[in-house]
This record gives sequence, C-alpha cells and structure tokens, in this order.
Amino acid sequence: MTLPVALYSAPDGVEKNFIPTPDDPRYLTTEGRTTGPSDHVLNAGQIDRDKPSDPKYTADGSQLTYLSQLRTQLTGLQDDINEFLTRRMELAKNKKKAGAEEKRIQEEINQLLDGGDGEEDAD
Amino acid sequence: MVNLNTIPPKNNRDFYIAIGLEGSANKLGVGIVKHPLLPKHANSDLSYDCGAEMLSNIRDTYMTPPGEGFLPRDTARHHRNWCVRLIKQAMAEAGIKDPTLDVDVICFTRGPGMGAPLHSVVIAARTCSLLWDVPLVGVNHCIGHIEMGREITKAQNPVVLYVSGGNTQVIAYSEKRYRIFGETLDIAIGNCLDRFARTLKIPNEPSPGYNIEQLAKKAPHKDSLVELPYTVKGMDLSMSGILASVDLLAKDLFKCNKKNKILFDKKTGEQKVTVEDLCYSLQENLFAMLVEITERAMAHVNSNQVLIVGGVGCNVRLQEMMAQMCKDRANGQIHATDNRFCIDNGVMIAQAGLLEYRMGGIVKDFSETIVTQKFRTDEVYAAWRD
Amino acid sequence: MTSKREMSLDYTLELQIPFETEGQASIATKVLSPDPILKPQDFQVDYSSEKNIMLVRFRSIDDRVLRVGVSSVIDSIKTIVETIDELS
Repeated sequence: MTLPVALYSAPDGVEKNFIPTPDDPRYLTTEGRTTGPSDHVLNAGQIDRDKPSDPKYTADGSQLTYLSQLRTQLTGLQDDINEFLTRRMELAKNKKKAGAEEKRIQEEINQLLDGGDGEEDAD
Repeated sequence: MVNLNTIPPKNNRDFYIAIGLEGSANKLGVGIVKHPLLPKHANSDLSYDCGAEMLSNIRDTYMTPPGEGFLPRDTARHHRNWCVRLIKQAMAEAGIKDPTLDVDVICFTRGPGMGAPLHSVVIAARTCSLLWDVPLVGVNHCIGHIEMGREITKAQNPVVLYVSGGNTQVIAYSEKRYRIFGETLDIAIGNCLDRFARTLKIPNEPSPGYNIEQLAKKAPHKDSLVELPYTVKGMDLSMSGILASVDLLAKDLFKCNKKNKILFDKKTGEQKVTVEDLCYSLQENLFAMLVEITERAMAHVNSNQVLIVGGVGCNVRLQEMMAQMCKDRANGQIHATDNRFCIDNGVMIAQAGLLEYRMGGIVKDFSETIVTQKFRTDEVYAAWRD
Repeated sequence: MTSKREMSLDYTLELQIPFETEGQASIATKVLSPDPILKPQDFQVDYSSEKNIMLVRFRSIDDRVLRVGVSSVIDSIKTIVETIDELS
C-alpha cells in the first residue's frame, strides 16, 4: 500500500521527509507515544482507560484492514512529527538561553574592564 | 397547532429512527430513538407525547482522580477514542443493520459546552452522515435535556429548572422559544459542587455531586446550619462567593484552625462542624436559592409545575425542597427523570434532534455543524411546539 | 520594523494521506474543512483531495503552533479513518 507521508520545511533551510517504515512496531500500533493523557493527570495518579481501539482484522482474520494499517501508520507518523518539532523547539530554546547567558557574561566582563568591582553601581 | 409529520419517515416506513451523539462535557453518550408515525401528530401540540422508544442508550464517562477536574484536552481524547466503538455498540443493540436505509437523521450536540470535546464528536457525526448519506441536525444541549424531560414526564407546561455542571437556568416556554427567566451570574451549581468535592478530595466516581449528596445525608448537626452567603439577585443567582466561603471553611477544618469559631468551640476548642455538615449546609443554601428563583419564575408565568433537568436534578434533597415549594403553591408538583436521562446522554439529543428533523430542520451545509461553546437556550426556534 | 501580522507563515508541513478510494478521500476532506482556525494570522490549513489521496497543507508562524495544529488534525483524521473502517 501507499504510505501516509509528510514533508516539513522551515525558514532556516531545514527540510525533512517523514516516511513510516511499515514493519517497525512504531507504525503498527494505535497507541501513540505522544498522544497519551496529559502529564498533569498522570502525575495526579490517573490510570489510562481511554486508549484508542485496537486495529481491525479482515473477515478471514489473516491481516489488518487497509484502513487499520493506515491508522497505525498515521499514529507512528504523528509521533515522529511531534517528537521532531519538540526537539527543534528545545534546541531553539537552548540557543536562546545560551545566547542570553553569553550576553550576561560579556556585560560583566565589560563592567570589570570599565573599572567596576563586579557589583551594581549605586547610581 | 403544528404538523410533526411534516417530513415523513424515509422509505415509506411508519416510524422514524434517530441517532443522538452527546459530548459537551465529560460524558460521551450515544442514543437511538424511535418515533412511530401517528396521525394524531399531524395537527396538534403533542411534542411531549411522541411515543418515543429508546432502542439504545449508551454512555461512557471520562473519570479523573480525586481532587482533579476534567481538562478539555483529555476529555476530547476520551471522546475521540471511544465514539466509534460506542456508535457501533449502540447500533448493534438497536438492531440497525443498514443505517442508509434505517436511520432518518444523525443528531449531535452543537453546543453549548467544551470546544475540543464537542469537536471530537462532530467529526464522527459528519463522517457517518457522508458515509451513510443521512442528514444531520445540530442540537442545543439544554434543549436536549428539556425535550427528554417533557417526553419522559409528560409535564404539560412546566417551568424548567436546568441544573448541571455547566448550566444553571430557569426556563419557561413562550411563543416558539424557551425563554431564560433566571440564571447563574457566574458559575453553574454543578460546578460549585464539583469544585467543593475537589477541595474535599472525595472520589469522582460515580460523580462528585452524588458523593457530596451522600455525605450531606450523614451530617450529624443538621439542626445548626453553617451560615453561608445567600446570593440571590432578583431573578438570578451567583455562587462563586459561596464556593469561596465553603472552601475556606473546609481548609480551616483540615488545618485544625482553632481560631475559626464557626468550626471550633471558642472555649473548649472542640470541633463543632464536620465535613458532612459543610456538605449539608452547602446543599441547603444552594438549593434554597434555586427554589426562590424558580418560584419567582412560576409566579411570573402563573405555573405550578416544575420540571427539573440536568445532572444536579438527580439530587433527591433538591427534588424534596422543590416539591415542598410546589405543593405550597396551589398544590403543584415537580417532575424529574432518573439518572439515565438527567445525566447527559445521547438519547436526549436524538429526541430533540428528531423533533427538529420532523419539522424540516436539517443541516444544509457543513458550515452549520461548527460547534460552539456558547449557545443560548433561547436561540433555538422550537418549530415543533405551538 | 515588520509587525507580527505581516510575517509570513513560513514553517510548513504537507501531509499526504492515501485512502482506499476517491470517495473516502473526498469524505475526509469535507469532514475536516468546515472548522475555522482560531488565529489565522498564526496558522493556516488547506485541505484538498486528488483521486484517493488527501492533501493537507499547513503553514505556521513557528514550530510550536505547527506541532499543535498538525497533531490535532491527525487526531481528527484517525477518527475519520476509524469511522470509515468500522461503520461503512
């Protein structure tokens, strides 16, 4: 069967193709890693009884229906996209933090060079 | 007089079948209703007497741990993951083999309620409609409660008290609309009770309100009510002040704050008030306010009948207090349904939706199926009533 | 200085969903299309179908908004797929 796919592109030039690998267990389950209950309720002790339904088998039981396969592949694809974008967001956040930290250190150095004693001036 | 048979059943049958899908809060309900085609409905005002048969009424409630409320995102996930299974189960129970031939209309809650959960359900509704080539009707959740209440109790023209986790309204029918005579100015009464239950950290199963009711029954000091703010404002009422008050008392109780003279004797430091007493006083206070604004509406429209709908309507103490007031008013009476119907369910959506369908009110374009968090009861044109 | 509103939505994702039939792809497109976007200046989605393939084009102001929007639409698509699978 044809697979569901995604193509991502960002202004910093990054491009990524998302293509499921049909035999990989990540694409054979309806229970996504990134689509569980929210952390808040899990931390409050929630037991998840609302997982998605299992994929469906054909009438003779020999294999999953086309649409069930599509659903499991979409589940894996969704996880891939979510995890990729989350990593990018983390990287961007760390760069920003690192940038802010660098700026602070540079300002301290400048102050010392200018003859301050490292503490804020009274005026 | 109206003609409830304006739209005939499909395929020359002598009955209608409607599927109802409800998901505005944490209950997901799928119901299937059958109406016989009766000559008496062709020119009359009998929408409270449809001869409705419930072919299926399935509900699954999204439960959270004690102390936690339900968040839109997780509630939507619950509805998304269960709706197809519930629809399948309901259809099997109702014996529907071929929906294209057998189902006249698919009814769904368009609002009011929580956006994401409502949306989860409407996706399934739209898909079924296109798959089976069956028309859709969007239903107002409150109207669903009202029409179910009317059909079950056969109340002729009552003032309706609609009390739930999300709504608190006093409603009376007049000229094709359900008019809101009084309502909450801030939070719903069910929300007030649910939040107090979270403060007390009591279980959410089977429902926080039910558990508060059971605690209240066991209150040891019913003769000395804890004084709470009484906040009726004309035809309306407010409840956030009462919640703040009772939350503070509960917290002082847990901390054993002996300085609180309401809770602890000022000389001996002995505890005078228990958690059960707080539940009891909260109920008595809130329900007395509801009785007052309901009675005010009854006086306005000259009615001595009350129909209580919505989840909080299951509360026996509320029914008692309301019944007493009605009896004192020209020997009136209250009508209420049991928890199959006063708690959110799919059958009520099917009932209200089917009435609207029979009068010709179907969705002509999918833009009419956009769900909405706010949807006033009086926005709906009740074509099925005289 | 460019105001936020004038910034282009240049974080994009294109999703291709192969259904079994043209009819299914068309149904999915019709089911997803009606709902309005809360903040169109931050996020846009276009749905279309070609034969049995549904195409969804997302454009967003950043990765965060893109992730939320894409995941939400895929959730809806999974519901549509399950409905067709179980209730046809």
